[in-house]
Amino acid sequence: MPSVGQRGGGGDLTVLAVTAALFLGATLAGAQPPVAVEALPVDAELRTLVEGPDMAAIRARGEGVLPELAALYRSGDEELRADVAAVWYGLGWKSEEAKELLLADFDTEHEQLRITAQWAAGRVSNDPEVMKALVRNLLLDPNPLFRDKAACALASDQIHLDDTQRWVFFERIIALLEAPSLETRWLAIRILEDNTGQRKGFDPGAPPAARAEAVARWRRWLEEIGEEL
Amino acid sequence: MSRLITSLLLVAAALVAPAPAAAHDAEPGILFAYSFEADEDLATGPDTFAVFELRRGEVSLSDLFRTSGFYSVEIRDVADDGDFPELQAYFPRRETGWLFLRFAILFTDPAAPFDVALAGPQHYTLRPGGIAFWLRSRANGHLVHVSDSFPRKLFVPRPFVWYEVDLAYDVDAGRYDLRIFEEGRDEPLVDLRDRPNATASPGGAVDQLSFVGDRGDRTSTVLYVDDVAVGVEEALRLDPFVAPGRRRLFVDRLPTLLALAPALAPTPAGDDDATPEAVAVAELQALAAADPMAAALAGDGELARYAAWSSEGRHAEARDLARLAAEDADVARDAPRAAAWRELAADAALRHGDAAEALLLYREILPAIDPPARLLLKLSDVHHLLGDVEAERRLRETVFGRLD
Repeated sequence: MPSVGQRGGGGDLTVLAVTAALFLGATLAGAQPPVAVEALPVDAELRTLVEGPDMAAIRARGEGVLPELAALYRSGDEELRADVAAVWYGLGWKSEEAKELLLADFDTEHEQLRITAQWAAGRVSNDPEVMKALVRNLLLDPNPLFRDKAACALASDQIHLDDTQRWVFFERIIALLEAPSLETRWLAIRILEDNTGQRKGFDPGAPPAARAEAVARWRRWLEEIGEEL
Repeated sequence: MSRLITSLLLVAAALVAPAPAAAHDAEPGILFAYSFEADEDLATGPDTFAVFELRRGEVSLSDLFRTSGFYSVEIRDVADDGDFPELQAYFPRRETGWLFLRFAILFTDPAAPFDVALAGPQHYTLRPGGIAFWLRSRANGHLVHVSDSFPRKLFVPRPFVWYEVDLAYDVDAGRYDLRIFEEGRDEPLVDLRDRPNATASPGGAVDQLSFVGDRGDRTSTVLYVDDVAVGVEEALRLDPFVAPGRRRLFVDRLPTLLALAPALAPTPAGDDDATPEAVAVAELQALAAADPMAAALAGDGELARYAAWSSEGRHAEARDLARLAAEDADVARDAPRAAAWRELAADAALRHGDAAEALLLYREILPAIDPPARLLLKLSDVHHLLGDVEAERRLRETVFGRLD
């Protein structure tokens, strides 16, 4: 997913906030605090594997490694947390605990941690909160790199969605095609294209009437696949 | 050898060597046909099929279930082993007209993940020229086909029952008719007409077919495949096999260092970056960039003379030039460049008809480097020409696998 770091179009923050509220259909409250769990002792050997990373050895431990990784995440600084997030990304195993911890870092300014947490969250969970948080970052983060990487996560890393959730996912992203921000529209069509291989003729820079026709095509498609469900 | 390397090699081969003209032998209209019987020629290769067993998953002949003869192919996945087994079939690229695909498939657990995909030069991606037809399972046991970018329910298969899939694909329109028959029933369970392909995009070429286990690596999927056939309407005839698994020798179809070295020159970015040709060139550049021997040749002044002599058929002179260049590189202690020139010398020797000399030259390179797949496959050619059946097979199967 190419960076949009050089693109303008971030827009007025108030407009973005209103847009986000409309598209998210929710308040702009931050992520919930992590679920309180009994703390496991940190596994020093696991830390070494995570820092490698030695994915084969980690994978060989089976799903029992997930709470151990969570313990490592809680105990670590930002760099270690980024390493653990990368392991969760690579495993692609669902973990409620991992999701909570990753969402808590969706506001960090540490670049590597932020990007990896955004990418990994959809690979450990199909909780709708993940998508909401990513769309929020796509719309509102003041850093264009983080907005772009949130879009990348939406494009490529929502791997546990069932068909109904995927329909909701498409509904949300298609709604972004009507955003006032050119950047948002551009990111949204890239997400749709990565997931479907299609643009249905949508050009984010085209005049409003042309864009509206393409959005209508997307909505008809959405309606048709909704009937499949 | 990874499936990525094999795919990159095939893309590169299509770029640097033209597709064979239709000629000779083979049954008219049939591009690919296997019943997977023990007395069939099951040589893997770029014009037949590849078997990927990169971890603990397996692809093998089985006599447990079959629709004809004595055997079928069993694809047996192992959960959490870091990869998935795959049978990947290749046929001459079709860019127009109708293509007909038929195969039989049996599920031991219909809810276990699997994928069958007909694809083109963009491989198994959701983009034009990528996946054209995609059949897969859902966790609720439903068989689905992905049409217009969304899975469409078909039916819930029964375990241990054969299903025959019959596809007629209009390459130009990017649409297909799909029928699926259940064993023992005359009427199709599925009879769909004129459905858009996976990305609702017309005009994408197709040249490969894949059967895989669980790409998500969470399930020990086991399924059986039999009687796979791909055909076209017209009476197309194919070049005969010149060696096991291939209708052209690897040395004539793989990117030579000569092709890779220019690929290292940067190309200007433009609006055509997303075209299939641009993507294929980018993949060739990736292959070249990952090969230290190709990189070592970039900017070498002797390349132009070698290339000219090679194109003029002056292979003995090209060989001698390359050997001298290798010796110069030895003196300069430039090991990658020396290895690269030795490979070019070996290629020229092979084209000159001297397989024995080519073998010696290729072997000179081997200890010094981690041999790229390209080199192993050309050695396979050499051993074929020298009559060493076992060595030919062993080298070819390092890349394309083996169906036991």
